[in-house]
Amino acid sequence: MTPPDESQILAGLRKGDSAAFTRVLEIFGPRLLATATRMMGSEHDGQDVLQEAMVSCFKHIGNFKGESALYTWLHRVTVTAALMKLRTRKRRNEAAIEPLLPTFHEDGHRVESTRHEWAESSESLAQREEMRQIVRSCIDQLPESYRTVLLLRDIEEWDTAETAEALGVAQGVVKTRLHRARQALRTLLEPYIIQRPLTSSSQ
Amino acid sequence: MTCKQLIEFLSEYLAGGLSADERARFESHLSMCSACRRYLSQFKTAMDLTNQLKSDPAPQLPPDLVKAIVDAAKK
Repeated sequence: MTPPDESQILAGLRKGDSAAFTRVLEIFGPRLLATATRMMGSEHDGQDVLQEAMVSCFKHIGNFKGESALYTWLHRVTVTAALMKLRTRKRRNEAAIEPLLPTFHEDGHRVESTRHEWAESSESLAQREEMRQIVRSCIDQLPESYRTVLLLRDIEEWDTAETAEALGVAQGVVKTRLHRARQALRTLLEPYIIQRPLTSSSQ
Repeated sequence: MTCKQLIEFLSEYLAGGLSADERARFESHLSMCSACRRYLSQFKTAMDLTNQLKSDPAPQLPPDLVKAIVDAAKK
Protein backbone atom coordinates (compact mmCIF):
# COMPACT_ATOMS: atom_id res chain seq x y z
CA MET A 1 0.00 0.00 0.00
CA THR A 2 1.38 3.43 -0.88
CA PRO A 3 1.66 6.07 1.84
CA PRO A 4 -1.13 8.34 0.47
CA ASP A 5 -3.51 5.35 0.49
CA GLU A 6 -2.48 4.60 4.08
CA SER A 7 -3.08 8.16 5.24
CA GLN A 8 -6.48 8.14 3.58
CA ILE A 9 -7.38 4.88 5.31
CA LEU A 10 -6.09 6.18 8.62
CA ALA A 11 -8.34 9.20 8.33
CA GLY A 12 -11.27 6.83 7.78
CA LEU A 13 -10.28 4.68 10.75
CA ARG A 14 -10.08 7.74 13.00
CA LYS A 15 -13.61 8.71 11.96
CA GLY A 16 -14.85 5.19 12.74
CA ASP A 17 -15.75 4.63 9.10
CA SER A 18 -16.91 1.06 8.38
CA ALA A 19 -15.55 1.21 4.84
CA ALA A 20 -12.07 1.97 6.22
CA PHE A 21 -12.32 -0.99 8.65
CA THR A 22 -13.30 -3.25 5.76
CA ARG A 23 -10.51 -1.90 3.55
CA VAL A 24 -7.89 -2.57 6.23
CA LEU A 25 -9.17 -6.12 6.61
CA GLU A 26 -9.06 -6.64 2.85
CA ILE A 27 -5.50 -5.39 2.56
CA PHE A 28 -3.86 -6.72 5.72
CA GLY A 29 -6.33 -9.30 7.05
CA PRO A 30 -5.00 -12.34 5.15
CA ARG A 31 -1.38 -11.82 6.26
CA LEU A 32 -2.46 -11.14 9.83
CA LEU A 33 -4.69 -14.21 9.84
CA ALA A 34 -1.75 -16.30 8.59
CA THR A 35 0.32 -15.01 11.52
CA ALA A 36 -2.44 -15.63 14.08
CA THR A 37 -3.08 -19.12 12.69
CA ARG A 38 0.62 -20.06 12.85
CA MET A 39 0.87 -18.81 16.41
CA MET A 40 -2.31 -20.53 17.61
CA GLY A 41 -1.90 -23.75 15.62
CA SER A 42 -5.40 -23.66 14.09
CA GLU A 43 -7.30 -21.33 11.78
CA HIS A 44 -10.29 -21.33 14.13
CA ASP A 45 -8.24 -19.99 17.04
CA GLY A 46 -6.36 -17.73 14.64
CA GLN A 47 -9.66 -16.12 13.59
CA ASP A 48 -10.61 -15.56 17.25
CA VAL A 49 -7.29 -13.86 17.89
CA LEU A 50 -7.54 -11.76 14.74
CA GLN A 51 -11.05 -10.63 15.65
CA GLU A 52 -10.00 -9.62 19.14
CA ALA A 53 -6.91 -7.81 17.88
CA MET A 54 -8.61 -5.93 15.04
CA VAL A 55 -11.55 -4.80 17.16
CA SER A 56 -9.06 -3.50 19.71
CA CYS A 57 -7.03 -1.72 17.00
CA PHE A 58 -10.07 -0.08 15.45
CA LYS A 59 -11.45 1.04 18.82
CA HIS A 60 -8.09 2.36 19.96
CA ILE A 61 -6.78 3.78 16.71
CA GLY A 62 -5.76 6.84 18.73
CA ASN A 63 -2.96 4.70 20.17
CA PHE A 64 -1.38 4.47 16.73
CA LYS A 65 1.06 7.36 16.63
CA GLY A 66 2.34 6.77 13.12
CA GLU A 67 5.84 5.86 14.35
CA SER A 68 5.71 2.69 12.26
CA ALA A 69 3.77 1.54 9.22
CA LEU A 70 0.14 0.75 9.99
CA TYR A 71 0.72 -2.94 9.17
CA THR A 72 3.59 -3.13 11.67
CA TRP A 73 1.30 -1.85 14.42
CA LEU A 74 -1.57 -4.18 13.48
CA HIS A 75 0.86 -7.11 13.37
CA ARG A 76 2.29 -6.27 16.78
CA VAL A 77 -1.19 -6.08 18.33
CA THR A 78 -2.16 -9.39 16.68
CA VAL A 79 0.97 -11.18 17.93
CA THR A 80 0.46 -9.76 21.43
CA ALA A 81 -3.16 -10.98 21.44
CA ALA A 82 -1.98 -14.44 20.35
CA LEU A 83 0.66 -14.53 23.09
CA MET A 84 -1.92 -13.58 25.72
CA LYS A 85 -4.27 -16.29 24.48
CA LEU A 86 -1.47 -18.85 24.54
CA ARG A 87 -0.67 -17.90 28.15
CA THR A 88 -4.25 -18.45 29.25
CA ARG A 89 -4.45 -21.86 27.59
CA LYS A 90 -4.23 -24.70 30.02
CA ARG A 91 -0.52 -25.17 30.08
CA ARG A 92 0.47 -28.45 28.55
CA ASN A 93 3.19 -30.35 30.33
CA GLU A 94 5.98 -28.89 28.32
CA ALA A 95 8.27 -31.58 26.96
CA ALA A 96 11.99 -31.18 27.56
CA ILE A 97 14.00 -30.00 24.59
CA GLU A 98 17.20 -31.82 25.59
CA PRO A 99 16.35 -35.10 23.79
CA LEU A 100 16.21 -33.11 20.55
CA LEU A 101 19.61 -31.48 20.98
CA PRO A 102 22.86 -32.98 19.70
CA THR A 103 24.86 -35.15 22.06
CA PHE A 104 28.63 -35.37 22.33
CA HIS A 105 31.33 -37.88 23.13
CA GLU A 106 33.66 -37.11 26.01
CA ASP A 107 36.24 -35.74 23.60
CA GLY A 108 33.72 -33.13 22.35
CA HIS A 109 32.88 -34.84 19.04
CA ARG A 110 29.21 -35.00 18.15
CA VAL A 111 27.40 -38.33 18.24
CA GLU A 112 26.04 -38.76 14.71
CA SER A 113 23.05 -41.02 14.17
CA THR A 114 23.78 -41.10 10.47
CA ARG A 115 26.41 -39.67 8.21
CA HIS A 116 24.14 -39.00 5.29
CA GLU A 117 24.18 -35.66 3.60
CA TRP A 118 20.83 -33.98 3.16
CA ALA A 119 20.72 -34.38 -0.58
CA GLU A 120 18.30 -31.70 -1.69
CA SER A 121 18.61 -27.97 -1.39
CA SER A 122 16.23 -26.18 0.93
CA GLU A 123 14.77 -24.34 -2.09
CA SER A 124 13.72 -27.52 -3.87
CA LEU A 125 12.51 -29.11 -0.62
CA ALA A 126 10.40 -26.10 0.28
CA GLN A 127 8.69 -26.08 -3.10
CA ARG A 128 6.92 -29.28 -2.12
CA GLU A 129 3.72 -28.72 -0.20
CA GLU A 130 4.32 -32.05 1.53
CA MET A 131 7.63 -30.77 2.90
CA ARG A 132 6.12 -27.48 4.02
CA GLN A 133 3.48 -29.45 5.96
CA ILE A 134 6.23 -31.51 7.56
CA VAL A 135 8.12 -28.37 8.59
CA ARG A 136 4.95 -26.88 10.11
CA SER A 137 4.24 -30.11 11.95
CA CYS A 138 7.83 -30.33 13.27
CA ILE A 139 7.65 -26.72 14.50
CA ASP A 140 4.40 -27.58 16.29
CA GLN A 141 6.21 -30.43 18.06
CA LEU A 142 8.69 -28.06 19.69
CA PRO A 143 8.16 -27.31 23.37
CA GLU A 144 5.92 -24.23 23.53
CA SER A 145 8.44 -21.72 24.90
CA TYR A 146 10.86 -22.66 22.09
CA ARG A 147 8.19 -22.80 19.37
CA THR A 148 7.05 -19.27 20.21
CA VAL A 149 10.57 -17.83 20.00
CA LEU A 150 11.25 -19.61 16.69
CA LEU A 151 8.02 -18.24 15.20
CA LEU A 152 8.61 -14.69 16.38
CA ARG A 153 12.29 -14.54 15.39
CA ASP A 154 12.50 -16.66 12.24
CA ILE A 155 9.04 -16.22 10.69
CA GLU A 156 7.51 -13.01 12.05
CA GLU A 157 10.93 -11.32 11.84
CA TRP A 158 10.88 -9.72 15.27
CA ASP A 159 14.28 -8.82 16.65
CA THR A 160 15.73 -10.20 19.88
CA ALA A 161 14.82 -7.12 21.93
CA GLU A 162 11.15 -6.97 20.94
CA THR A 163 10.77 -10.73 21.34
CA ALA A 164 12.28 -10.54 24.82
CA GLU A 165 9.99 -7.67 25.77
CA ALA A 166 6.85 -9.41 24.50
CA LEU A 167 7.72 -12.63 26.34
CA GLY A 168 8.96 -10.91 29.50
CA VAL A 169 12.34 -12.63 29.43
CA ALA A 170 15.95 -11.47 29.07
CA GLN A 171 17.45 -11.15 25.60
CA GLY A 172 19.96 -13.88 26.43
CA VAL A 173 17.06 -16.25 27.08
CA VAL A 174 15.61 -15.47 23.65
CA LYS A 175 18.98 -16.16 21.99
CA THR A 176 19.41 -19.46 23.83
CA ARG A 177 15.86 -20.61 23.11
CA LEU A 178 16.15 -19.68 19.44
CA HIS A 179 19.40 -21.58 19.01
CA ARG A 180 18.01 -24.66 20.75
CA ALA A 181 14.75 -24.47 18.80
CA ARG A 182 16.70 -24.45 15.51
CA GLN A 183 18.81 -27.42 16.64
CA ALA A 184 15.70 -29.31 17.74
CA LEU A 185 13.99 -28.58 14.44
CA ARG A 186 17.00 -29.94 12.54
CA THR A 187 16.71 -33.13 14.58
CA LEU A 188 12.97 -33.43 13.94
CA LEU A 189 13.38 -32.85 10.19
CA GLU A 190 16.26 -35.28 9.74
CA PRO A 191 14.27 -38.52 9.40
CA TYR A 192 11.97 -37.03 6.77
CA ILE A 193 14.77 -35.72 4.64
CA ILE A 194 17.09 -38.69 4.93
CA GLN A 195 14.69 -41.60 4.97
CA ARG A 196 12.36 -40.24 2.33
CA PRO A 197 14.67 -38.77 -0.27
CA LEU A 198 12.35 -36.93 -2.61
CA THR A 199 13.42 -36.70 -6.21
CA SER A 200 13.52 -33.25 -7.65
CA SER A 201 12.44 -32.39 -11.15
CA SER A 202 15.00 -29.61 -11.07
CA GLN A 203 17.91 -32.00 -10.61
CA MET B 1 37.54 -25.45 19.53
CA THR B 2 35.61 -28.72 19.90
CA CYS B 3 32.55 -29.80 17.87
CA LYS B 4 30.40 -29.08 20.92
CA GLN B 5 31.71 -25.52 21.19
CA LEU B 6 31.29 -24.97 17.47
CA ILE B 7 27.65 -26.05 17.58
CA GLU B 8 27.00 -23.72 20.51
CA PHE B 9 28.27 -20.83 18.38
CA LEU B 10 26.34 -21.70 15.19
CA SER B 11 23.51 -19.16 15.43
CA GLU B 12 25.91 -16.40 16.44
CA TYR B 13 28.21 -17.34 13.56
CA LEU B 14 25.38 -17.22 11.03
CA ALA B 15 24.18 -13.90 12.44
CA GLY B 16 27.71 -12.47 12.05
CA GLY B 17 27.94 -12.00 15.80
CA LEU B 18 31.31 -13.66 16.51
CA SER B 19 34.46 -11.67 17.19
CA ALA B 20 37.25 -11.92 14.61
CA ASP B 21 39.14 -14.31 16.88
CA GLU B 22 36.13 -16.55 17.55
CA ARG B 23 35.28 -16.57 13.87
CA ALA B 24 38.81 -17.60 12.92
CA ARG B 25 38.75 -20.48 15.44
CA PHE B 26 35.28 -21.49 14.27
CA GLU B 27 36.31 -21.56 10.60
CA SER B 28 39.56 -23.32 11.35
CA HIS B 29 37.67 -26.15 13.07
CA LEU B 30 35.11 -26.23 10.27
CA SER B 31 37.80 -26.61 7.61
CA MET B 32 39.07 -29.76 9.35
CA CYS B 33 35.79 -31.37 10.46
CA SER B 34 33.40 -32.89 7.93
CA ALA B 35 30.86 -33.77 10.67
CA CYS B 36 30.57 -30.10 11.66
CA ARG B 37 30.35 -29.00 8.03
CA ARG B 38 27.50 -31.49 7.61
CA TYR B 39 25.79 -30.24 10.76
CA LEU B 40 26.14 -26.59 9.70
CA SER B 41 24.65 -27.36 6.30
CA GLN B 42 21.69 -29.23 7.83
CA PHE B 43 21.15 -26.48 10.43
CA LYS B 44 21.03 -23.89 7.64
CA THR B 45 18.60 -26.04 5.66
CA ALA B 46 16.29 -26.25 8.68
CA MET B 47 16.48 -22.45 9.04
CA ASP B 48 15.83 -21.91 5.33
CA LEU B 49 12.81 -24.23 5.41
CA THR B 50 11.44 -22.28 8.38
CA ASN B 51 12.05 -18.96 6.63
CA GLN B 52 10.24 -20.16 3.55
CA LEU B 53 7.02 -20.62 5.53
CA LYS B 54 6.82 -16.82 5.45
CA SER B 55 5.61 -17.16 1.87
CA ASP B 56 2.72 -19.46 2.82
CA PRO B 57 -0.41 -18.35 0.97
CA ALA B 58 -2.40 -16.03 3.20
CA PRO B 59 -5.94 -17.30 3.87
CA GLN B 60 -8.86 -15.13 2.77
CA LEU B 61 -10.95 -13.76 5.62
CA PRO B 62 -14.44 -15.30 5.67
CA PRO B 63 -17.04 -12.57 5.00
CA ASP B 64 -18.82 -13.30 8.29
CA LEU B 65 -15.55 -12.71 10.18
CA VAL B 66 -15.10 -9.34 8.44
CA LYS B 67 -18.68 -8.44 9.32
CA ALA B 68 -18.27 -9.54 12.94
CA ILE B 69 -15.10 -7.42 13.33
CA VAL B 70 -16.63 -4.33 11.71
CA ASP B 71 -19.84 -4.66 13.74
CA ALA B 72 -17.95 -5.09 17.02
CA ALA B 73 -15.65 -2.15 16.24
CA LYS B 74 -18.67 0.11 15.64
CA LYS B 75 -20.20 -0.66 19.04
